[in-house]
Amino acid sequence: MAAPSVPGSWPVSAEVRAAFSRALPADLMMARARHRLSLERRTEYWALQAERLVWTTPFHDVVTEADDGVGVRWFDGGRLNACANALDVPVAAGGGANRALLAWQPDGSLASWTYAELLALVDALAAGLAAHELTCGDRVALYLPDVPEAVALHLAVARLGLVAAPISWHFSADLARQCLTDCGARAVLVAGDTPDAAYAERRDQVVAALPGVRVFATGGGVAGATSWEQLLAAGGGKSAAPVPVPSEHPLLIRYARSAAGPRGVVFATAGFLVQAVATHALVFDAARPGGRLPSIHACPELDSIATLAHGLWGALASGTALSIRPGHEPDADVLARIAAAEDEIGLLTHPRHLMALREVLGETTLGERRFAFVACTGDALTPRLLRFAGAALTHGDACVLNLWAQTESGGALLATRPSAELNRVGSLGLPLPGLDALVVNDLGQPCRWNESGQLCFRGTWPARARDILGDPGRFRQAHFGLLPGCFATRDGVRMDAEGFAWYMGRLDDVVKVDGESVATAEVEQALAGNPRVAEVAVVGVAERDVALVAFVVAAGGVLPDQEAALSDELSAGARARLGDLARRLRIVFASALPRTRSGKVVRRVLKRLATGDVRPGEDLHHVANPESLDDLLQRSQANPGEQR
Amino acid sequence: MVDTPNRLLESIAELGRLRVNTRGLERQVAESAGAWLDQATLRLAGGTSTDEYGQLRAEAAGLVEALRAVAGPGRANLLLGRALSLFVKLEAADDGAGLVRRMVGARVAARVIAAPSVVLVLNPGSTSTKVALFEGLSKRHEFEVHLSPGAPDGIEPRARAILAWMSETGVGLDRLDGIACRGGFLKPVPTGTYRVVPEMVRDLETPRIAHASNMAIPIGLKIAQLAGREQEILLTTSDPVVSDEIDTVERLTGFLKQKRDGSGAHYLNHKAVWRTLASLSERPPDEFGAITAHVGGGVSFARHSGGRVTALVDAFAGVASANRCGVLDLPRLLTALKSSDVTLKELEAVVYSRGGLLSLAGTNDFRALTSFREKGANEAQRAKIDLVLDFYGRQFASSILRLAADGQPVEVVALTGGLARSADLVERVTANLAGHFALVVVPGSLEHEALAAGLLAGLHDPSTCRDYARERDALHRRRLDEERLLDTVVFDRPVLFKKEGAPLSSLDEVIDAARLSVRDLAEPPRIGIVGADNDEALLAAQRANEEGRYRVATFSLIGDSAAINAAAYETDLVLDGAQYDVVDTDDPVSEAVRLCAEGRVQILMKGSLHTDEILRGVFKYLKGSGKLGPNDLVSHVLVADIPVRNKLVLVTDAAVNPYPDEEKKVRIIENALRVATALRVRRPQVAIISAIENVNRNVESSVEAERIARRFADRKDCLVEGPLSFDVAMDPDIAREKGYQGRIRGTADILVMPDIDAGNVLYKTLTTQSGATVAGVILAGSLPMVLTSRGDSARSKLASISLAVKMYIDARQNERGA
Repeated sequence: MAAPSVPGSWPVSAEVRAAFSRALPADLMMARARHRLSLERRTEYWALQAERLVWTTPFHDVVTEADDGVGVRWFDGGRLNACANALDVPVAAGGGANRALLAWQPDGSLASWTYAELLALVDALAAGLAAHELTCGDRVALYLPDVPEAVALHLAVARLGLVAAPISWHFSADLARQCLTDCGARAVLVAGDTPDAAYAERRDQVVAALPGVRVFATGGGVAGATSWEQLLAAGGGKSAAPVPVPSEHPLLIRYARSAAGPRGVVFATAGFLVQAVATHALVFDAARPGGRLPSIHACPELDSIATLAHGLWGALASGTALSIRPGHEPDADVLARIAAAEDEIGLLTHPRHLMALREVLGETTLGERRFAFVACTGDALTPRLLRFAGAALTHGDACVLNLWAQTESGGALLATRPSAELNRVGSLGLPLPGLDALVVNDLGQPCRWNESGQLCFRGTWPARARDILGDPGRFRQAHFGLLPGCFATRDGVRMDAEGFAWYMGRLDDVVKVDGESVATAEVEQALAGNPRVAEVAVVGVAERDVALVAFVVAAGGVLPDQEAALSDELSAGARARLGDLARRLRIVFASALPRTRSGKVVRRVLKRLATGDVRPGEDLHHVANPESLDDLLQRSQANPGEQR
Repeated sequence: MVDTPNRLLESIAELGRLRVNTRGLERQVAESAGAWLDQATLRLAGGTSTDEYGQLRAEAAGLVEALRAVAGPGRANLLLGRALSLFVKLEAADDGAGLVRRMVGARVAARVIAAPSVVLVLNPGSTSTKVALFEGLSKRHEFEVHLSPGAPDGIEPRARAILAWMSETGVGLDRLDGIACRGGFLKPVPTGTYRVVPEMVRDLETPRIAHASNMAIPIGLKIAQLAGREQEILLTTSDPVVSDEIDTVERLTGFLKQKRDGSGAHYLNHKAVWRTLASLSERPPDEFGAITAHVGGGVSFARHSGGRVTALVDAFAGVASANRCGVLDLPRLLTALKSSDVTLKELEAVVYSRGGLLSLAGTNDFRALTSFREKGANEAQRAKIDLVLDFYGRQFASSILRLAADGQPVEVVALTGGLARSADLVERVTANLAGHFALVVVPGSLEHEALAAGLLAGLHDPSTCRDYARERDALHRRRLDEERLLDTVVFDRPVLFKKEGAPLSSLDEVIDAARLSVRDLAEPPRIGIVGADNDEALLAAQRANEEGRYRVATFSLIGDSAAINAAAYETDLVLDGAQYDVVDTDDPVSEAVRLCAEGRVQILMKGSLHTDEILRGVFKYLKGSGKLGPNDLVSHVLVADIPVRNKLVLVTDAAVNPYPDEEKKVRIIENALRVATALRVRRPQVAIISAIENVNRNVESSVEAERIARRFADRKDCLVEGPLSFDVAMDPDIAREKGYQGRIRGTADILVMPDIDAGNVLYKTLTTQSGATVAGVILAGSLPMVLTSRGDSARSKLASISLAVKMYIDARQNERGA
């Protein structure tokens, strides 16, 4: 079955075509020129990238943005199928014998599928899903560790135009159930026969109470579940043709934890896929002398957007094999074996993983055969980790790529490139073409070179999350409050004189409350929803009863005898949004939040204030409004009992 | 061509001969002119006809013109002064029309004569209102309208009384063309004539000083209203007391907070006299530079230049007058106030009402004084009166001379006001001025003429009337701009003159010295902050580089880059790679030491790591690399800037060596001496501290102190003594009381503490209880280390960094020199 191909119908000028014909710019100046061109001719650039895919119906508009920058439609009018682009197209182009999926089993053996084999598997799987009356638009959740079945399910789901909802298998049963209910999943795939007892328990709890939801399980041991084999057989040998879906049809709903319950971030098919393959070509393929990366090994889990974008969809649709391995022990041996076994394989990983590897490897390296490059995404990659990765896992510092991505970004937006020119050790690299990155201070003003502020992106990009399922206001409130038309990432960043971005830290804290990680920004948003709150900053403290302290500036001020009443009101509101978490919240009123000259709230000082650790008269000259500190100090001295 | 010395001497001799001749001629002229002036004065006193007046005037005018041509120091000036005085008298004779004509100028005068107008002049006093009626240029009637005893004082009663008087004179209200009112305490404006507007009435509701003259304008308005001719009668005021047009430079005093302004002088009379004299001298007022001295009940002096009163000796803070003390000797006054010899109340009385002549002689009446001198005073009293009169003569003359000190030409000096009638005073002032200026005497005041002249000019040439509100606001804005200029900060921290090579006596000087040393280097030193994810260290670094134009050092931030970035983010630190760069490591101490070894970092600073950790690493490195010889020791030196002491004191060792033995103490002293050298202290006095000042076998520290001191006995570069107790080392009075026989009596530069407990307690006492600022440095061979603790103030941290930088630079210079 061959997918019909339609020639590119959007005019792309020769200039743009020529500029992006080479994957890697020769030097910094050319990189900047290319980037400028990609912004000036944004529609042409993305239309050019869209040519990497095969469309059943060509689009008639590249991008339509709403005025507030929140709503957006990319490649309007087009229809395509993601799975077809990933499997059918490469097979039709004669690459059926190339490897597509590699799975390294715990016992050391390797299971692999070629494109043709994978296509057959996915075809049957899709037919099976269709037999279970799952039709275009239905949600299919995944709640299992990285196994090849998960990959196949993602592809099969996309084949039918269903929506995949990957849920991290670390989520508690409660949380997982909430996610399933939230997206209205009609089916869920779990793992049976697993050595992880904790996961097994969670899984059982989850599937125990799911009325009307079909449960599919890999392996046995799951009560009431359809087994993998049964699912494959249910198709009855029929083939499932790829269903062309509109560009904005959801491809994924990715569930993330948040203080106010799970939030499902929605991604559109065309945009996500176009950007995934574009990034893959620009960053990963470019890393190889042959201009093509044969395979990539993904360490972060399959439910993370970075892995889905760069490991699964971007790789497969570009003809790169995806290599996975369930379990995340820092198994240096396995990695060595992987590196040895493959000719050119890249490593997609996470700083935590690298740190663990460093513990294990110490001064030793992987050996002669190493990864072609190490692409790191997730947290901050410190220079010493980078040097370790360069020395031990790959061929030098330049081969370690730092990617900046967030869930809502739909993939990497800033990256270093595998060349000495375009790489600075420890930096986040340069913005990818088509992305207009800027650094903005808390007053909404652009920052100068080396001044740190919040990383923002002007305008939209194809892979950007469209919305939060069922809670549209929250998406806007979380990301579009700082500057109109700009997406605020809540990451602190500085850009140096050459244009490289450097990570400075998150703008908020992630606090562990009762074992759960809570981003203080969520709590702030929950409180900021009340119109009586003008400004709020939340910091984490380590006390018995209180884990979070919120410093609130009431709109129009609040009289001392009304403070208690307002505090109760805010707590009630917080309880409604955040649930039990609100019990661990203490509210302190302030006349103003202490800020630096550039408007940043001085959280470290607030943290110390919350624990009574600030001496009056201490040198805090970076605080531009010291009267706010005096006011807070006075209050904390007035209520000494509450502090300890 | 330059003359030969002989030719030069010849020319000078010729000049001298000419001078002698001139002097002779001068004497002749003086005699003749003086005789003529005497005669003319006699004739005037005797009564003259109008024709004679005319003739005398013409002759006086001719004389004045001639004298002006030869005016100069000495007799010519004296003559000119006398001539002008006579001239004024002549003009004032009769109905004063001559004066008014002089004041309004020929053009306006012609118009007035052509269409004579009737002008009422109002000049209210506390118990009466002086009034005058002018017809045309002539003063027809002059009177003082008293208040009826028992009747309430107010605008309306006074207005009605004046109207009553007017009707008595026979001048009908319907003929009144204008009312010239004395200006009250309006808002400050430049001098000139102003049309009366409602703004003035509003401003008079809140005058700076409650004074009878404030009533003048309301009375004028009332009169116009009662006459029913408000629209037709022109009301003006001229040269009010609150005039202010002095030069900006006159506003400064020796204390920035106290700025002067131009108010508080008898402007009306000053301007009137000046304008008259300019006219008599045939000069346009703008080019007629003069000094007028109004000596009456109040005394004020005005300098006229370029048509403005550019400088002032005012009536309150100027010279002593009949009842005000004027300027006093401030230091003596302060002492008197502090010892309650003088109370503030007394001072206030003396400044405003009971000082001056009243304080000196018990009367405010000069005439009474001089007549008492003639009849009734005994010898002592006569001597005292002479002294007082001499005093006043000198005071008045010196004020006049002071106002001449702007380098601008002074054509005449005029003495006017009530006291100008006193021949004795005039004689004294003339003598004191020694003929430097032509002194004109205009007794009494020309205020009524001036007010009338102002109004007449306004009537017949409306362009001469100024807009009160606009001038007031413009002056206000100008004064605000001036304030801003005067308040401009030149040096924001007092930069005190420091003699070359003098010892640094405060931490501020240490900071400045460090900056200046760094400025002369090609590159500032690099300080490595060990464990830089520490807010305080980053803030200290920021401060070191942001205060002042010169950056003291560059910084390497050593530690976990993620934590450092987060801290830098929040402190707004700009990580530009040059000024600040981040060295990512999980073992900051080793990394710091490595950077030192490679010479990439010259000074170490404590960040978030513990001092002992850092010291351990550093010690190992220094010992291993041989940079720390067997005779070197790592020790801590504290430099304290105690408010009550006029020099710095060093305390060692308060942080590093817990219980050093004698050998270690010797090396601790050597380290401290190195710091003292960096502070340019010559021959530092080192006091080895114990609990007592003499050797007591039971007090081990005293025994050791003496031993150590003996080891330094032959040293010429320092004075080491021990044991001393702390109070003897620091307080000269106590040293004297205790009869301490050693050489360090309260003048210690360095205190060597017996152990770390004593040292640390002293350190913390100084910072927490004594308000001292301290800088701390750890010397490890040639590597200084900055050690700041969390409680240190910002100044203290900056001083520590500066001290370390200075020591590093000095060490490098010594190496190069050696």
